[in-house]
Amino acid sequence: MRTLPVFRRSTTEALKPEAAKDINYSSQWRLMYIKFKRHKLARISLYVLGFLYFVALFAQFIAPYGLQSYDSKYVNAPPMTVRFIDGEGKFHLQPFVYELKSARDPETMRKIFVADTEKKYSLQFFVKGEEYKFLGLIPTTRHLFGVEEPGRLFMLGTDAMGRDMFSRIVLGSQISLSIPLVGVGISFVLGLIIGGISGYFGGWLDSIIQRIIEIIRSFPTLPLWMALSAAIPPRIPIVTMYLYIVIIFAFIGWTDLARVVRGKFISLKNEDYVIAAKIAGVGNTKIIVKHLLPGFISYLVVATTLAIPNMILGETAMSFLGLGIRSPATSWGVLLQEAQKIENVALYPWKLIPLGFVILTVLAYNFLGDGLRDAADPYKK
Amino acid sequence: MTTQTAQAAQAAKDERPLLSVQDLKIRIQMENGVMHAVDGVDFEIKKGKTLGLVGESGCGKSLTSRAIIGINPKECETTGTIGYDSADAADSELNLLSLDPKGKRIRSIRGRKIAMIFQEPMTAFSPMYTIGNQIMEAIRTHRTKNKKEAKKIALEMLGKVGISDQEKRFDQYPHEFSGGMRQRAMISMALSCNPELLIADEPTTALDVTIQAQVLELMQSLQREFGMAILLVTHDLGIIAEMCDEVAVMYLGKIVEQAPVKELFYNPKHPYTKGLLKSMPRLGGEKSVRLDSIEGSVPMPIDMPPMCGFYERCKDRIEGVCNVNAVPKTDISDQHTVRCFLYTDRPEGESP
Amino acid sequence: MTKSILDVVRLNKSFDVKSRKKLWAKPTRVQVLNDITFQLFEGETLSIVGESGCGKTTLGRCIVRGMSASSGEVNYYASEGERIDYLKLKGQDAKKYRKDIQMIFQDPYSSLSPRMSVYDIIAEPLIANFKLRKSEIDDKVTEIASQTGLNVSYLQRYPHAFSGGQRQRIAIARALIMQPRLIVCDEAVSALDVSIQAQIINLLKDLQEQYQITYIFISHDLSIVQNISDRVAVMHLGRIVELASTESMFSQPKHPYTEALMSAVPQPDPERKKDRIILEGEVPNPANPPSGCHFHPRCAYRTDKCVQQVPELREVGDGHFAACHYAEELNLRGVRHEEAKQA
Repeated sequence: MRTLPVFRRSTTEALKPEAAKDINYSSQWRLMYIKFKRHKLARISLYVLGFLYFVALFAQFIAPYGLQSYDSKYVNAPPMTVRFIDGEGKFHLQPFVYELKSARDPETMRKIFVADTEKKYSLQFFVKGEEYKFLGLIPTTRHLFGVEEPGRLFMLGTDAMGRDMFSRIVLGSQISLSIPLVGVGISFVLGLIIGGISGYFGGWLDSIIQRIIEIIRSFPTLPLWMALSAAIPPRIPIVTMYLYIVIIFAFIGWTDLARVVRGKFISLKNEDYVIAAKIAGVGNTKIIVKHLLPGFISYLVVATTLAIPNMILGETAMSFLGLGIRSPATSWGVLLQEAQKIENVALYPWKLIPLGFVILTVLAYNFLGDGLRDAADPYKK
Repeated sequence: MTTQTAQAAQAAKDERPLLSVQDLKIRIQMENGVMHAVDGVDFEIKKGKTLGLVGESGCGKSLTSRAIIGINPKECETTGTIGYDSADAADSELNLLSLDPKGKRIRSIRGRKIAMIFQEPMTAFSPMYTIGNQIMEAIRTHRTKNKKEAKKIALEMLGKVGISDQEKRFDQYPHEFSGGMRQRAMISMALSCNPELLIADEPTTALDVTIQAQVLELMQSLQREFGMAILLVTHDLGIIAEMCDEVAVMYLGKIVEQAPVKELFYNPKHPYTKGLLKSMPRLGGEKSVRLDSIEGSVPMPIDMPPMCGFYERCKDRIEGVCNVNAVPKTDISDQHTVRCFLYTDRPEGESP
Repeated sequence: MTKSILDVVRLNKSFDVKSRKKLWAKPTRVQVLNDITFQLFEGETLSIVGESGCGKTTLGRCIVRGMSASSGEVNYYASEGERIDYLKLKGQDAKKYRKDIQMIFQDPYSSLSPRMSVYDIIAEPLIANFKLRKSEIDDKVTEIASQTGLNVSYLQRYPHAFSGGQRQRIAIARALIMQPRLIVCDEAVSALDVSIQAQIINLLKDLQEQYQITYIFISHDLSIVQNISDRVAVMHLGRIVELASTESMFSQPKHPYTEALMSAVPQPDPERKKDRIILEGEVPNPANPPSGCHFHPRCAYRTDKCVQQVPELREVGDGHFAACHYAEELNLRGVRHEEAKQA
């Protein structure tokens, strides 16, 4: 008989990883991170989204004006130009804006705004403005930037009531960016539980759940939204309304995720290594937690990320049609309501600017999802 | 006099190999360096003969065979010459590697003069069209535009590969065929244009032994009938022994030994060839004999210094020689070559 | 050698396959295992050979309970000799005995979770079954790893860092750590390269010698089967058609299917006379098996009796079982024991 290698006691030492950076020692998540990093577009998208959410988080601070603040003097004013060089060609280190003066177009006799080069307001950081609660907690009047009263700053113009578009977009992003997150979060939990039950137990339970999913998915979405939002009482606090809308989205959104979970569950259940664990006497709960969940959680993250753009578009569409968020609360969809009239778009094209933010966010999420999908299975060659 | 020279010229032409690969190198840029997947491969295939390319996974045998018809992915940087000498004057003395891999010229050779069959026949057929349709398509691109004639040829070919009830089978989709049947259909598609060279990449690996026997038998009888040359790529020495006239053993991107089949099996020279032959259990051999295994595993050929790729696993390695020099090719006899330092000073090549 | 470790009695497994063509059609029943009965002796290697779809993998999985059998018994004789109905084990008993039978899978890429380090993979069965201190687990894992020829300093690596052969060693280590008495090897070497195959086969033999492990070796490769096994069972379409000692089987097969299988194996010997038996036609569809003897459509020796009557597996020689009506009369060709011509 051939002698086998002799076991030495000192070998326990060898169990400590020698190089943490070595790819051979990399866990699933590290490999995914390495793979994700290589996807340039996804990385840029992640930065873009990070920036947008950062802005949304500090919206009240970043926006120069509050949601209710309006000035009837400046109705449908165009975006102001931030200048460094004044009319005489002199350079100023501190940027400034000219006050807008209303005038008449000599040809069309339409009311227009022209810059009043006499009145100049410097752009300042941390100016005093309307009072708000910083992060909803600390009352303060400081805003990130703005101009001294009585000057006005309309970076992206104003709407038909003389409200600053920039402030409204920034404040609206709070709702537009958070509804999909919360909605998808609820769908994630629902999908995980229902899909998991469906995939794990199988049999008649699976059939019933699958049929329910099919029925929900076969509803045309628009009438469904209309029906559901008709059920929301017209005068309710903003928070409640917000919750209702989220639930409407989650109600439809979970079906996709449940399918992903179920499919992965079934395919992983029959993987050799899961059967090996079963033979080794590993308990059911442990198999689910240690083998099944890590196996499909990455796919679920991808599916979730790719579900967010749909929710953003859905929220925008609903609010645009007046079915979702209603005044006084604001979202990008609400802002776009003004762009419903063609003359508004033709005469005041800056009212379409919120659309740009919607497109940017949706694209960023899609690219991010793409990158995550590539990274989701780092073992595939 | 003139007829004599013409005859001599014809004879000389017959002597010339159908395919001669010289110094073929395929490099692939990896994240952690350049992989020399194929590193200076030379071989020739004579008309009507079978060359076996044998080696373990990752030795570069598939890349080599695919380079001939230019179907490797773009990442493969290929150099060397692949001389092709068709009986057809239009395509004689051609360097296949110099042709644009997407161009018209190579496409007229691919499928028409050089056909290929793969391990997994499912990938060779589109699931959207019937088998008959796809075979006919191949015939119509290369042989005849006439639909009726093409169908006749297709049915005839299906019959030749042993598919009964061809009329019915003709209108079936690939998924309705069993594995062996699909492989036969692929062979019939490959042979439908009377190719001069058939490249078979692991043609029976996915099949059961009894079906494998059928397919091998079929390939041999078709070779006898059409006189085509075969390049057989496989890891199975048993198949090599039954099918080939000549064998090239590949290891880590290099041909380490090349010889006529009997010479290779009864007088192997390279330690790797010897190891492979010994590590294989044989039917009819002694039961419970301990197999002579080759220790270790195949390294990755990334940024290899000039040394013998088999050095780490070799029982007969010479330190200071094998691991510092590139191994030259040594002739054992005029048909038997080996890449090993054990034979560099020994023209007679007796085993050490 | 005659002490039984496992008694498989009339094991059946069937699947219901729904027809895709008709919506309300009754599902067809596919009998994957058909009254499989055999005895396994302690310390031996029993190989199960057959072509794809013959049910050999299903049989292995049913025995280790990776899959549930439709009917039949698997009686396991524990180390003290007590008989245990293995398929009906529950609770504490299951914990106690299930570790005795382990399995090694064909594909070393799918049988190891890519998300766990090699150490965790090997330690998992230990942690699931025993309450051990960390240092005890460390000791056991490193011991088993070095015995299976793994480099212990690589244990914290993940499976993707290893080649196929090394992965198979990891799988063997995982099976071995429970100190099983029986290991089911399901095509354990067929995904490996020739030179690596030999390493793993040798390792399995060494371990058997050291620990007196019994193997059920499922394979389609007759050359390996002949090398490794004491007895061989040939399966065809869910039935065992022949069961005999390796010598008896390879020198004198009693079933035409075994004969055909043997002659179809390509030999690394260019001078061997090429007198293969080429079977006609395809492997029959298990959902719609032929009548009588399932092998009759491809059999050269068939008679009307074969078409009508199902042959029983019966003893036709000393410990040689065959399921052929003409097992005694036919003089079938085995593998000639030639001197291996090697340099």
